[in-house]
Amino acid sequence: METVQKILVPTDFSDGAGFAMREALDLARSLGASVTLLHAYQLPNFMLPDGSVVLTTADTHAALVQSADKQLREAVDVASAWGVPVSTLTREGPAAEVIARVAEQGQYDLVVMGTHGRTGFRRLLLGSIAEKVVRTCTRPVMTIHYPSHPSPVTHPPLP
Amino acid sequence: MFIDGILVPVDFSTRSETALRYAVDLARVCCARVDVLHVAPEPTTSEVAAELALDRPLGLPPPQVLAGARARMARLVAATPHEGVALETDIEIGQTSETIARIAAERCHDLIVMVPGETTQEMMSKAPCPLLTCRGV
Repeated sequence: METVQKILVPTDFSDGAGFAMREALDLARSLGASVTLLHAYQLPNFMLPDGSVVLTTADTHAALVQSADKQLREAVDVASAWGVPVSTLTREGPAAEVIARVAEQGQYDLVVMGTHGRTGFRRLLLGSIAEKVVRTCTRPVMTIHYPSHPSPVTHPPLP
Repeated sequence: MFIDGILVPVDFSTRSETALRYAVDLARVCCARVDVLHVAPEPTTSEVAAELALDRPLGLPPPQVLAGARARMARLVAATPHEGVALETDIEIGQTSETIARIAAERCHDLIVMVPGETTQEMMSKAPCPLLTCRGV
């Protein structure tokens, strides 16, 4: 391993992902690495019992992407407080597969992600996504619980 | 995140070497210490029976198991270049993932480094600190 220079941070904009992002930024700052925030989303297509498929309209798609972009911009605003070079990516597809693919194709040195999303079902979902990424991704993956063990480091105040 | 102590659980497979090498490289960058931990399984029922018959202390794996683990630990550390990195080894007895989590909590490790395997999923839920999994490059 050379030094860690490129860190990929998948986010679903949950508290757990935000916590992992702050840990990743902290790590990036101490290692002199850059951070790429990745948001993977899936279009809510669904199939009716008769087999017909209801596709997402262009409007819904645009709204999804717009909402993701807005939240990513907010995350970048938070990240800028760390003085770490931050870029963003938005990709459509199943989260775990997208994360593993982006990490490999982009030759990221490390993926940092939370194991818990929001609450209830989301918690299960993100946990299973992290678990799947660990299982399938060929790049190193760091998983971080939230908030069972807060970092002793004091983070810069949020804007 | 301040990485001061890194815990590397090993089972002496080639995967263990990969994880240890990664941890040592990371420790060098972060000026962290590395603790290498092997968890020997608790004695099986038949081994406990043998302990009783041989009047040995209960709850320990057979002496040859521990001696073997110590020898393999020494070989693993010798095979991993770690100049400039404080490295300590430890052999504990117990259930693998629980023991790893307990040691990480007791010794305030900031990171656990391991190669994905059977215990990874358990570790993801039990780890008291961030868990880094890496595969050989």
